[in-house]
Amino acid sequence: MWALVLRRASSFVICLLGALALLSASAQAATHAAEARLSNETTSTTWTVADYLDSIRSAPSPKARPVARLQFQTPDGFLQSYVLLHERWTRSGPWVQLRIPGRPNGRIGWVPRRDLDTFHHTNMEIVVNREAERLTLYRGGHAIFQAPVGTGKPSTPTPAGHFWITETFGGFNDPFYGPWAFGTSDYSTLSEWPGGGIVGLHGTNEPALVPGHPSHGCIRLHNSDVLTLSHLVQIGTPLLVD
Amino acid sequence: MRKLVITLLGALVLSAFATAAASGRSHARAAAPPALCGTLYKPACVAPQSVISSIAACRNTGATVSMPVKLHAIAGLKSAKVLFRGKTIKSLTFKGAPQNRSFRVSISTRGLKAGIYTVTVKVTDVRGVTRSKVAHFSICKPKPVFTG
Repeated sequence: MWALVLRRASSFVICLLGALALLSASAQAATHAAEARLSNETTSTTWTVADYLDSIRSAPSPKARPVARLQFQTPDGFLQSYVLLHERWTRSGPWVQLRIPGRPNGRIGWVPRRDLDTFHHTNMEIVVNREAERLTLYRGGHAIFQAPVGTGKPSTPTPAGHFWITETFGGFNDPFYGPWAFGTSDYSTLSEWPGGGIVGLHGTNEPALVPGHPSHGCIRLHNSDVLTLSHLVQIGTPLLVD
Repeated sequence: MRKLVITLLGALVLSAFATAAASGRSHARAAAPPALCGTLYKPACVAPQSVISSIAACRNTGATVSMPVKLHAIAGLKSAKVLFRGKTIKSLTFKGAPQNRSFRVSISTRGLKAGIYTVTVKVTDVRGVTRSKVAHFSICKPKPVFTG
């Protein structure tokens, strides 16, 4: 009699544990399905601009702490672009995690999906190695262009981290920046600089200083190299400063 | 032993249902809309959609800004309007309630000052449901101001 009760009880416990394990596995699958990665910032990067001005929050919730605000414009008048990292579906709708341009560098936050414009994708990536004084452009993970660069002096180093191209300039007629220039989301150590101290990626009228560390934070290229980049690089291209 | 097997099978079936329901929820957003909607046997109609993208790069004054627009309504499109600076610059009425339409909006920027400008697309489906989508473009004389 007791043996029968014990056997039934043990079989019931086994069944219960099995069912719980299976249910938890399916619940875990559902949780994973509710979040999607939008960029790896190497071979696949998603970016967009803001449709509406709203707070950027520390978590995907309207009650989370605001850490910044979406901006329409860069200091130079372009539409402000944002690199998007993740999308998460919550009770309050879909939220998107994005990189925040501006000082301090490296901030991230969340905004409702409805605040953002159409998503764009790129498989390009720019990597600037400060120590090797070299820029490499990748497409789909394959190096397609390399060039020597001049980066920041030891007193004003080019800040390292994950950034992206926010502006493209041509025909501005300023020999100091060469024939073409790109604005980035990287901000230099010089906070009092006009325009907020944006780190640019541009040509030069002092080619003898490239490669080297001649700048206030900007990344200088030979004019022929920056012109080659002008045909390959668009707004939204991720930039890794190493 | 038979009961144990039956119970285990039951748990498996339950779990499979739960997984299917969860994946159904996650794929519901990406699934293609049905050809018909709002009937007794079809899912409810969703609001009409318009796709128009902002232009991240600066435009010089005098240039023409061209923006492609795509419209979609499961219930069928009735009309669309494009507004710029408070005025309707394009108005379309659709015959036969098509589900998809594409067109292009061209805006002359002659006389516009530097700044951000907004284009609004309003689309209405045959049920009278209207939705709006905005897109921006920027007019500026781009000159870099970097730390150098």
